[in-house]
Amino acid sequence: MKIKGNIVRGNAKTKSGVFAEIKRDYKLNKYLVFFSIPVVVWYFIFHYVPMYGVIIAFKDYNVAQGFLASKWVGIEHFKTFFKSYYFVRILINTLLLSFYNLIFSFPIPIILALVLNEVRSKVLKSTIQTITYMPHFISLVVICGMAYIFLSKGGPINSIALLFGGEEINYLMYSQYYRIIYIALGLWQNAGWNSIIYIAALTAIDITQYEAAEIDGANRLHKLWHVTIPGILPTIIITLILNIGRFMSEGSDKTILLYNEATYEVSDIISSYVYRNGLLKADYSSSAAIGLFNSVINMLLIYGSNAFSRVVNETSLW
Amino acid sequence: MQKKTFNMGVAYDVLNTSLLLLLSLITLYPLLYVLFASFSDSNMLAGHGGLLHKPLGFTIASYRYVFRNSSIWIGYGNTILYVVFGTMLSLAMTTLGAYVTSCKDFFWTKYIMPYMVFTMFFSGGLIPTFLVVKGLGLYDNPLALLLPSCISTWNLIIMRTFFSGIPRSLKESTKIDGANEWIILTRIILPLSGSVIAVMILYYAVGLWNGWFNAMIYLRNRSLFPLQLFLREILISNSGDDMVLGINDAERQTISESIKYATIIVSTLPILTIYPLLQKHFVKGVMIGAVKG
Amino acid sequence: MKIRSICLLVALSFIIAISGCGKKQTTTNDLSDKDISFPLENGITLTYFVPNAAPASVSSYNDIAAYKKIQEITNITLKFIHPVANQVSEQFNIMIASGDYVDVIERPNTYSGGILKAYQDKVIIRLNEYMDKYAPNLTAIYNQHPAVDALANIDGDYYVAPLIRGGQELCTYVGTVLRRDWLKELNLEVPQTISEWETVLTAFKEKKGAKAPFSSTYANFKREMFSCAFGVGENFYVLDGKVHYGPYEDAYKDYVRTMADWYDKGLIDAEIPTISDSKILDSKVLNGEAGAYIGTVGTGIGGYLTTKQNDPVFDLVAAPYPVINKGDRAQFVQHDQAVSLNNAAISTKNKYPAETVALLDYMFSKEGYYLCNFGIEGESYVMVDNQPTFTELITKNPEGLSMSVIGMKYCRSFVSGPFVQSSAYVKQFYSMPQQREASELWVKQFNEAGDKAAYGQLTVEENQEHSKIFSEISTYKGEMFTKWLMGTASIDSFEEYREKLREFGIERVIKLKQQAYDRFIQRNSGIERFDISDVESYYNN
Repeated sequence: MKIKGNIVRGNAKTKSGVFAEIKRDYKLNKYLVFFSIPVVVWYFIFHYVPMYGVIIAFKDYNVAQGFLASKWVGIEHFKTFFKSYYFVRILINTLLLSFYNLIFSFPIPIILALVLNEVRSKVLKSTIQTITYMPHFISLVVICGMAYIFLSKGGPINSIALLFGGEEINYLMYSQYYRIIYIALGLWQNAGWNSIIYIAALTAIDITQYEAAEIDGANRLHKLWHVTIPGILPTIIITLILNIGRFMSEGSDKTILLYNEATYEVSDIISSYVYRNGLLKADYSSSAAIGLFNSVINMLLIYGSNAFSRVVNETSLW
Repeated sequence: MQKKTFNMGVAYDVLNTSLLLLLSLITLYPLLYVLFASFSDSNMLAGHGGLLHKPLGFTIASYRYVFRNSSIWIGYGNTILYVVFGTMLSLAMTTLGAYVTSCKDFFWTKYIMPYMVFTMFFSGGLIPTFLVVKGLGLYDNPLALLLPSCISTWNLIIMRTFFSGIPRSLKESTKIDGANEWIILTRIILPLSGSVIAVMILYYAVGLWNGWFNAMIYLRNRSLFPLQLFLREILISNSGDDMVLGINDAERQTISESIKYATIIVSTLPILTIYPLLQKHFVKGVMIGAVKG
Repeated sequence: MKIRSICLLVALSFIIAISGCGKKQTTTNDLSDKDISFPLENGITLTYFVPNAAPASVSSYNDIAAYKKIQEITNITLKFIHPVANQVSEQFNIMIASGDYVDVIERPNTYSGGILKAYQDKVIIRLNEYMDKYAPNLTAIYNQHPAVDALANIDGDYYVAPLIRGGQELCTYVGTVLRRDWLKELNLEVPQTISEWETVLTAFKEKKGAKAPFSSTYANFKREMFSCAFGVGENFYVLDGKVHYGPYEDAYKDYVRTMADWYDKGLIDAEIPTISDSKILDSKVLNGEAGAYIGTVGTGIGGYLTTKQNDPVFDLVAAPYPVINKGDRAQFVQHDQAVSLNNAAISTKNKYPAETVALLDYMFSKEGYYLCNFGIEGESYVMVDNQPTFTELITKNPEGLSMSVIGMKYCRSFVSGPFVQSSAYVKQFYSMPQQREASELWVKQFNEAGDKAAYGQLTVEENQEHSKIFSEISTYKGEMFTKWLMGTASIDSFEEYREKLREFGIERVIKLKQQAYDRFIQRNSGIERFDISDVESYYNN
């Protein structure tokens, strides 16, 4: 890393060289320095100052005693978590669920945006866009309640299954369907909303590129492949990196609404475990410890994927 | 030959459109369900197990209940203020951050970026953040809803990505003309970024509209409460197992189901209209005009 | 390089944080011998943290007529702080962390580690020193009723003004309920034994076409509704002075086997593990998919009958807790502890502890008892034959509001709180004959079965150890029960399951509970039964 940095920076080798560079840069980019001050200060106050809170992962934090007076326990909370009977299971479940989420929930909004882009009627296009983004606004409780209606015995999915000679079952009770339901529900609710960013990126593609491609005799597929996709590729890669960085942080809300003891085997994930064992009892310390574990893994993942992307694609977060 | 491709094109369009229409139907249903349920008779709704195709016994009683609550109007007023000013503030800060980090020749960019990304993964948690906000004297102050959450790093990165996509040649040519960065940002970059600004407004406005957690933590004065907090009060249903909590179930108060759905409609309908308004900024050709001009 | 700069920043913020967090600990221990009489000469204001349990009726407890009157009488202004629904724990903890405690805290158990830990951490104060002088009513009740006293103190110390349930019908209110009209139509009796239950459910399934002959929310299903017949409870209980954990007992196997058999035969709702929301059960009962279910006297009987009042046939009947052989006695019946300590505690930041104790004690005076339970005389209740009786404003509200919605505008008896909850209130609340029948039946059965509660409070250390071990046990137990029920695991694995519970430390948990129970019994050796149903006699003279 160090070597590479030196190569990139070229002539800034010595310490005085760095200061000289800062000085030179200040002269050149005075405005940029001013622009960045409010942002940097904001991050410092609202993100970095509260970060002393992470010490509770190593303490028996107690709200009344406060952060400093609470007893140090070292890595006790981490040990308890790693030694938990359910540790391996919830880790695997979290990883699998995030993996499926990445495979399906990430590309489908892109496909949706591309398909929408091909629609020629403006009215139709905007109507469909508006409709598909709407479910995002309905609360999870309602969405999951509807999922129950759809998937229970006598629900529409079962009626269709019966038509094809299937058996009537409640899909929410069987582990083998759980992940499909979880992912599909997420898509149902958020695919339209998530496609907005790609739709915006698509509109920024230079029209002259299409015209040039047309002159070269490209058909729609060619144009899609050679103009459209390269045009939104930076957006795709950045969102992909960010998504990878959220790999371990699948939230607990939806899981708690959808799971039951019959599907614990596949449905119980780190966040729902924390919810049951920590948050419900206001055990901030052990939730902080598990949160820290998640963050470190996420950090490594985003760092890795960013480095990879920089090498392969020359697109990167920093 | 010409005709054949034309037919192919039509077939492609038809397939494409019908697929999308089917998709829209599927996604539309939850919204219709909520709408139907909100106009339904609550007793009939309680006994109904399956899907809804129309309201069960049309009534507007639940809407009357929701609107009879005077605090709803206070909440609406507050929320609109928070959304308008909050979005403006967020947009300004995010633009600055995104622009700075999109300038690759700026010395500090390579430090600022990880500095920001780091906060996406590590946070001090609820209580330290609360104590900081309180220490700044923002407790029970409407600014507590706007300031602590005014930049979303995620949004900032998206905006930065967009800025980075703008050809450097554009910037450099103006720089040679003697323009400073402020002029470049406001006269060159922003006019080209209509679509990403629209997306940012949408993301921030929706976030502020739906937000209630910060308000719950930081506000005590009810006349400052946003709409969502009042709605949560209406929505409260003791759906969890009260007996486990030791509260007598004999005394459980149930709010009729249809009122819950009416509150959802009341609280989401205004924000749903924002997208169609912003959509017109997603138009092609901004770029090309600028290059030629 | 980057990492290093980040480290630097983190270190910096540490320093700032540390320098910002000075120690500010002030405790007022005002134990002057002043006399307090209401109304106070100089009015004071107290902040009062309590979740609003009735948002449909009142937006603040200040709107409850009884509280208005109490504030008038005492000249103490109450500023109620209601946490937002479902976020009680967050708001409670924020309040504690910020150091701005309110003066009165209802639900001190919300504090992580419970009431004792809250006292140990100096969040709430102990009331011992105030009891004699400022709480004459509570002291008198405790003196007259040693059983109440036993349940109200923790190892001899008082920390809260408790909820005291004035009658058995306030403690026992859950049971199995059947469609009376179906039973009649099929010429069947209300089932009493496990085999009669099977007959009835089979008939419901085959003759009435019930898709889910027996249904329930899953949380309720995992209570002792059927296990009682097999002589095991669903949680900790005491037999002959020894603490047991039902799901760890041998007989639990027989219970699970029967349930799995019923499930397999389609007598139990196939979807039962997914019923987490009572709303789902509501629709199954109301549209005739279920013919029997677990319900409460209030919602499960009264609520459904009200919803179906225009249906000429729909009728419900409560079934007794079942037994194996006819004539046997049910051994476990649902029963909430008669004294709930999760009520009003006084914070260490309260500047007027004596006045606050006096105020809380006022709720236990005769006037306070009437105000809390029935509201304002002449408006919400009148005295009929020396008995407080709700007026028609409450029972037959002209605006059509349900009894609990309109009632909460006047008094607090419809939700729990720090006062003696009156049995006369609940008898009037159960306005339908089916409700009264159910309540009487289950209370009678509870009295026959006897109180098997594992009384006694764990110490702070015991509680910490207990919750650590027990959270994994309950997850595992819940999962295995579901597997056996659905037939995805064979009952033959019961021994392995017990072995696993041992590995988790079930024996240790039982031992902790046993210690707490032994301490409790030793302290209260003179008390035969922890029956407090005569507590209201305090007000009847």
